[in-house]
Amino acid sequence: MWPFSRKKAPEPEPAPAPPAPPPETELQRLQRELFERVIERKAGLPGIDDWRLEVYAGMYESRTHDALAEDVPHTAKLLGEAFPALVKRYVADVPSTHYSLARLGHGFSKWLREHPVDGARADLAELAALEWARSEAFVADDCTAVQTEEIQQLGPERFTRCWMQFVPSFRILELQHDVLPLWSAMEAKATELPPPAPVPARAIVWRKGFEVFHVAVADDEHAALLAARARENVAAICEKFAGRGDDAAHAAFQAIGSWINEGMIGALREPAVHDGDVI
Amino acid sequence: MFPRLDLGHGVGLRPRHYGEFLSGQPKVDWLEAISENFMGTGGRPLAVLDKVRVDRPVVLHGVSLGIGSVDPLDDRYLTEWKQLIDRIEPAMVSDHLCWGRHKGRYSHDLLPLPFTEEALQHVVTRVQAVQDRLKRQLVLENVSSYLTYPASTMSEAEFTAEVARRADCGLLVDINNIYVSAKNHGFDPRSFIDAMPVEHVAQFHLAGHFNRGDVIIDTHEGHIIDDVWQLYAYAVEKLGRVPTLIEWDTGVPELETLLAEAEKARVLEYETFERANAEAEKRMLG
Repeated sequence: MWPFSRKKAPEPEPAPAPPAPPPETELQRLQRELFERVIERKAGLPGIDDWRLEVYAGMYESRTHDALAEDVPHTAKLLGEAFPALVKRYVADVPSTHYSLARLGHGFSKWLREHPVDGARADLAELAALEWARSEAFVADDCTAVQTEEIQQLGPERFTRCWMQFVPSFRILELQHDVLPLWSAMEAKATELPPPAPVPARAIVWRKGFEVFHVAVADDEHAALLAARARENVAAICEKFAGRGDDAAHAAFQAIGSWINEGMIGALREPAVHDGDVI
Repeated sequence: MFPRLDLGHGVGLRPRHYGEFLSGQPKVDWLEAISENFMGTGGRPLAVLDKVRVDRPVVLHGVSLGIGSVDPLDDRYLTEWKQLIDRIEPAMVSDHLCWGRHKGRYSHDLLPLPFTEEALQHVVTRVQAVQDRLKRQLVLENVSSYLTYPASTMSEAEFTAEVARRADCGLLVDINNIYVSAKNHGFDPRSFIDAMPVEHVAQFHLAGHFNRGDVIIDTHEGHIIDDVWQLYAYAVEKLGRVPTLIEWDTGVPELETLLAEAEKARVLEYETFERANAEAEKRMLG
């Protein structure tokens, strides 16, 4: 006999089946069926007149339409008759998971980019992105902006070691079309609109006091803003203007100065120092 | 029971009137602010709310709590709501006796509940949880509805009253909503008012609506119709004086128009009390 008996390892016990979910209660069933019927437009809820269910379904369509039109008014206007049908498709694809209807438009520009509308302007998704950023900035958290005096008190050496924190309303936009002239024309109710400009554009959006602003930024300022947002220090931010040669220091000074003067910077932070070493 | 506040007659704080509230002192007893419009936000809306709160009482009225939803309560909602409540210190906080959220998705509507014992238990448990979280009583409003469930085993009035009694919360009796639902479902609106537990009634709402012919829709649009004014007088007589709000959210008019409706409510309330007192005096003398 082979010195060691080779006992067959016992078969592992089959994993117990997950417990079946508890049966739906009547309240759960009624809520699911009503939601599916009036929000998702599926069949269901026998025993209730269809025209009564349609009252709710119609109000949902109307409410979501109006909320989105308020978020992106110029985009909605340019989409014209196509807008209501688009809203229905959008809310079906990107359902509202935030308690506030005012947040409904958060994914609209991305969705519109992925679902271009036949015959519509090619820059509408970018216009929606700009409008949404402005809507967000309007109600962003309040924050007292850094004042020039605070920088003067720090002195140049300490200032260059600092990193900056933007105010909560601050947004950096990277657009595939330059829609800033289009937005201005729509705002001014111009009769003639500029044609779509398929050139990448960088813009920033922020709120100063109660007023929302946006402005286009050059490539190096955009890089500097990204560096600032990534918490790089002022010295590193200034390096982003190196491409301007002799004018680099002046350009960096002007850009950072305008961020501060226009209320975009919410805080300046000095790195902690231990035993003379910057941590 | 819910403590009876003597706030008077208020109107809704709506963006169209922000300028007037920032620059002047419009004569109004109190203001209602829609909670969700100020939660987790800053900027001009919150600055306006901060400003008006200095001058007069504010009531926070929500539309998205979904107290009757079978979905778990939205923790983000409760957190941001509590932060706003702590900041504003409102005279009361209210929402609707309805549901609106399913599997994390919001309908942004005030969907009706079936009036069953299961729904009642569910709502009572959640009202108690919310009151514990907020450390204050919640006030719940009856909603307008356009359908009823065959599964219901009690009337809306019985359900509403029982929620208030079991959860010990306040009731916001919306007179227009009673009228709208009564017409849509064929019940006597006065019987609804008769069934309200007086000690829990915290507030009245008045509003306009849209009569589509086959159904009445609660649009909060236009002037309050005479039938609703009469029902208000009946409610004042039966349930007593509580803060009254004029709601007008569609086609919001000049502030002056809203204030005139609030004044009309004040006069009607006064006349109702005078008449009731005179009748009581006559009974005592006779």
